Amino acid sequence: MGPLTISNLSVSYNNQPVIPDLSLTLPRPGIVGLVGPNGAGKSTLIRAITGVIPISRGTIRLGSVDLLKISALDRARRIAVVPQHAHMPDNFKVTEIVMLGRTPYLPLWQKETNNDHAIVIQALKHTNLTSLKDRFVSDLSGGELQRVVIARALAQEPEVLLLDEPTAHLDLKHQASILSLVKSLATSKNIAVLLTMHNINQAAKCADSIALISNGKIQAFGSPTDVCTSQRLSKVYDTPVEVVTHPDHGLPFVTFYDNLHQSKAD
Amino acid sequence: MLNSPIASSLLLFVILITAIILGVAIGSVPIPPRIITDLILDRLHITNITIEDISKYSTILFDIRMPRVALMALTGAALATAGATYQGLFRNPLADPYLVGVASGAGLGATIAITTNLNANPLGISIITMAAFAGGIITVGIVVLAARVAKTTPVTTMLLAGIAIGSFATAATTLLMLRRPDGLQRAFNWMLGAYLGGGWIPVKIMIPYMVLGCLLIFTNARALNVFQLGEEQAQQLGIHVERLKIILIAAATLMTASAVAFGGLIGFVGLIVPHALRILTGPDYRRLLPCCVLGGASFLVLSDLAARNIMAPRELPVGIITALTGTPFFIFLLRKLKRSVF
Repeated sequence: MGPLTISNLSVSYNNQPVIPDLSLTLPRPGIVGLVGPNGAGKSTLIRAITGVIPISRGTIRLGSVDLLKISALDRARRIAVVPQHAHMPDNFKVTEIVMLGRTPYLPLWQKETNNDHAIVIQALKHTNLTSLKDRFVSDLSGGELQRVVIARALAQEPEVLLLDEPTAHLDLKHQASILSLVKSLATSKNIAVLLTMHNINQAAKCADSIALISNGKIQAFGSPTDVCTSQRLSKVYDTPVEVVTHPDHGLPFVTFYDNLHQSKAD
Repeated sequence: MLNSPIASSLLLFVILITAIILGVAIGSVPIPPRIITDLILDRLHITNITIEDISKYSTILFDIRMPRVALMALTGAALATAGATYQGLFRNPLADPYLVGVASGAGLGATIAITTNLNANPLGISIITMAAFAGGIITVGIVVLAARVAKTTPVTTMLLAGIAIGSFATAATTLLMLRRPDGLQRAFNWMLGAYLGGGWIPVKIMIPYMVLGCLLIFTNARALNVFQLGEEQAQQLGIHVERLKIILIAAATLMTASAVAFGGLIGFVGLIVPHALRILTGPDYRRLLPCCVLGGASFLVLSDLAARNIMAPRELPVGIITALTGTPFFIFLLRKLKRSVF
């Protein structure tokens, strides 16, 4: 199976084009970091790929399969989403939530098979949740919950994994652990990953390539070093941005120019 | 929480059988269990009754008690199953079978029939029943259509439309009652769930609605579990969310409208029974829904037993009993639990 190819995608809300014309290819395996200002169309792109919102023009293909022509069930077997705000029913146990990821493979009446249970156990192991599997999700911390959502997505055995701000609301340690988990899964499971992030530095560290989006258009696509230039980011984010090269790993390190220090000095 | 699903269903099944036996045995004329067995064996042509005087019980058992207990069992099962379905669909622990207007619509329908003095009995069913059924179905239809925006029916909009249109129907009902006070007592009785009689006919009419409704709902039990993750995630897991909503609302409405049409507006069953059973079964709708059929049936059969006998020979509307007994029991369960059950 080949990469996910989005060509000339156009999406509108109430006749207002949010994504006028977007093309992007996600290599498989590989991680593309999608960065851009608020309202640039990051979440809209994810929702369009999963078929939750209708698209007005364009094609989305996974290898040779036209994703717009297959059923929702077929699509759910190929694409899994880790949403920005995952709703969790309190009274479910971790295993039960992860098992819901097997839904696209189970016909209405069928009970879960041994194979389904084995896949869930694997997903729990990969996300380091084995010891928490019988806990109620309401008893988990934010970092643990995010791992549950990722485990559920893994149970879908996806070829494409879309993560919307997976590190938002997490502390530094959990941000690091989620990102290294995503990085290892992409290669070991041969998954095409799209990762939306506000933190450009983390995106640059985790992703193989960066797609910079604003106004529903991909403004630049390439290696973190190529995409993240001070001039380009300042323009896209509409604020002065400083980019330095990190002394250890040589990746771009981005921060906004602020007048906080100056005002103190004054 | 009982660990085995079989154990919990078995327990509820035993409770239901006990409730049914008590329901047919106890009343103004008590029927000893031995005679019940004899009469049933005789009916099934397994043995022949030789003693003359026990056949006097025959009419009471087969024509009065049994159809009444059967109707109560079906009504309780319908309300509890529909209630659990709505709680899952609306992801709201306060949801009950009357949420989207079936009750107020049925109330309006019944009141129109009562206050216009329609007393026809076509097909052996009271016109009040027919008007209530039609009123319930039509009102839910209006609510769903009113809540539809751009090919989707958001549950919040549906809930609000249900409240608005429900209030409208209730206001119209009150207006009709005030204009024709002579029908007030009958309408009021119906609303609290007074048994209207009718022998086996209501039971025969309700069974197809129950079977169809349960079939549609049970088929989608797993989908209801997925629905707890929210609509968008359910969609991303391959569930046809909009189709599921319409199927479940149609199924629950058919069941509730037929229950309400024959039994009146019996409250609390559809709200409390599913919550009480969640303690036994956990949140999985594949386990919860069959238990709602058994538990709802038992609860209403027992409530009706109390309604008939507490102030005998006067009969109380069963809705009063379900509220009076259900509420303290439910509060007790809530207090006993450390964890939220929903």
